[in-house]
Amino acid sequence: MSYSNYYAASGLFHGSMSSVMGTQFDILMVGGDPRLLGTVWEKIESEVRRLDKMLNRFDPESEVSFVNREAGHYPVTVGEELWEILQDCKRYNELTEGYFDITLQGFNQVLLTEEDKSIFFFSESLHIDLGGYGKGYALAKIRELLEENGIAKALINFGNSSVLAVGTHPCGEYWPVGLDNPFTKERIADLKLCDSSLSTSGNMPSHPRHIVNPHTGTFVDEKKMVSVVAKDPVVAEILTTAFMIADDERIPVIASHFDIYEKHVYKL
Amino acid sequence: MKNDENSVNLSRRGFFKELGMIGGGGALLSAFPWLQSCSADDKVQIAKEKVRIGFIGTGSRGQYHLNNLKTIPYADVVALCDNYPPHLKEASALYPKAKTYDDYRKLLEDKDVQAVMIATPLYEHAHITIDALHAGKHTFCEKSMAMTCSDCLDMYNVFKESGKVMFIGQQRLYDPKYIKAMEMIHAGLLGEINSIRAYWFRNNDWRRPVPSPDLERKINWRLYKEYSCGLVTELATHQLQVGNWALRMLPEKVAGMGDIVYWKDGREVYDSINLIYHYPNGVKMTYESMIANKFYGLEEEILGSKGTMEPEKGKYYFEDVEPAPGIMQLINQIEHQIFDNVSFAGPSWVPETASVNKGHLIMDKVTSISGQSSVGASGDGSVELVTAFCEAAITGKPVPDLVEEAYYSSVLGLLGLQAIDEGRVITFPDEYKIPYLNFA
Repeated sequence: MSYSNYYAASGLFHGSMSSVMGTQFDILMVGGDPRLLGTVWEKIESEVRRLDKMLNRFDPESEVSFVNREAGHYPVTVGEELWEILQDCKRYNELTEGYFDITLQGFNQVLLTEEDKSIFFFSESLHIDLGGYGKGYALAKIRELLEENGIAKALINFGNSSVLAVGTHPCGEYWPVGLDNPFTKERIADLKLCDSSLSTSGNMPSHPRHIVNPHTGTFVDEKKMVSVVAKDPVVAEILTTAFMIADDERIPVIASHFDIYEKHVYKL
Repeated sequence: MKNDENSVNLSRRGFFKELGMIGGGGALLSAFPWLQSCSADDKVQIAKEKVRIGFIGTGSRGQYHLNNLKTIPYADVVALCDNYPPHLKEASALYPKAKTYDDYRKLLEDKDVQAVMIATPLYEHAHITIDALHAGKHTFCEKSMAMTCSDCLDMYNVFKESGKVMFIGQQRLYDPKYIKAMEMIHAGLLGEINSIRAYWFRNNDWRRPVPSPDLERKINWRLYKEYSCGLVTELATHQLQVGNWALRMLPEKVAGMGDIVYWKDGREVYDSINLIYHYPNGVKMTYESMIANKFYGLEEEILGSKGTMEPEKGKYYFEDVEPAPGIMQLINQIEHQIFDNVSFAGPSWVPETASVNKGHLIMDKVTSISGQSSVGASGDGSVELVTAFCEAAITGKPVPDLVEEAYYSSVLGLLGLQAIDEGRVITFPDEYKIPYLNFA
């Protein structure tokens, strides 16, 4: 379901979608022809729905669900886009010393075959979960759409955990975004985003342990929150998960493989 | 009638700050012309002066205002008038230095009085207001304006000719949550407004204690047709104004029914009314008021294609989609050209899936009223309204659109009563149209 409104006085377009990738999606676009903004919103809406339809492992009709059902029995040939995504996830798994892992059990149990673009699980119980990747990927796609259409100022909030800032706030030199401690509700940081992406991962009172360490199979139960600001929303997205699990010594080493603007690790 | 629920004295600056009208206030204020009565020079003048007020009608509503006036730094109550000695005595206790009168005409002759405020029973509004304007006084009169459309029109015409300041007590025009709500509605937040359902329910007999039987009609004037039009003038006019304000349009027809259903105690005015106002675009505003059940209280439910506003409660609701927390705040800031940090980033957020739509508050701090008091409540815009009257009385500059808003809400209430009494649909008579909105 979606909602949109155009605020003529400030030239601001607001689009909102619910129940997408398990959360809420909001976009603000400022400036330009309101009809164009409306068209761009429609494109974004269908793009995000399309990606959700492909990547959502809880949707039995999604391509990922099909892989999860069948790839333990035989190599499943996937579409071009999912193939690229799986390659990407494998590369990020290596660059993060295995901490970012869509299998949650070890990427070495997955066989990716280039010839027929197929995926095969060595274990029947294995499945893939793109929850720590999909929103970043969607934001990257949206950024392309915004660029193609010349939208110079936009802020996208994808379920609070993934934020993309294009250009600046109409009255400032960046998009100011406050980050709250989920336990105390107190402001923990004021971040300045400009042509960058912020991703946040953490344990919360409602979900005190929900991130699995793929090396040990145990939940991360520290009161901890991680934020990464990067140009590439996918990089920000996958690194927050990795930094939630990796210990303090490994974080800078992993970070050195990536082009990021800021990283913050909060012990709450 | 002490109003001791934290009486507030909102300075204009604080008032606008609360509304988020800092940087870009100018553009938004143009949508609420009555709020922008003060230039910088005016403010300097206001800060130096006090307006000398003569107060006519010192009953419960009058004393509510008199208490509030104590918090307004540039108001000075110099004269009091009432023809009911106990009320005059109570008011005099609040303002011991003020001169007292039992005849308003004597008060109007008092050269020391610059402005008058009128809180008499309805049947005395028109002639006292007209006499006050003729006497050269800036005039505040409680709503509703008058008991007949022609009296309302006379008041309007005398006001226009006089060049004086006239205010009518439609306090919602100054209630921050209403201003904010209207701004949101006019910005299209709720989509197109397709219907308005307004109501005010109480469960009491609307009577005041009467010291002796011969004072029944004087004290309980609200119940008798000679002095009052009942629910349409005492309650409905506040809410009819809200409907017109939301739609920025005036209705052209009204139908209705009214009865004495429960309080068959000798009263003459209806205790139960239902009205339907029809706007030129087909939108209807239904209005219901009765005083034998208070469960639903009061509200103006403004129903749009994308959402719903309940301004009395200070809440709004989206039809299907709930924007994430923080986003509406950010939109509000951009609308007002404010650059400030909004907290919304954090670990992944799972929206509540509860089937109950709890809605959003119009403002961080919303003061709502129960609607059960027939005197007045704090935080309903009354203090801001009277403050604005005092400011305008000092500068001598009438405030745009306020009288027009009040005029149409008063006349629409009276036309509703006519529809009930005559049992037919009333079309807005041309002779009572004054230039405003779609009747311009």
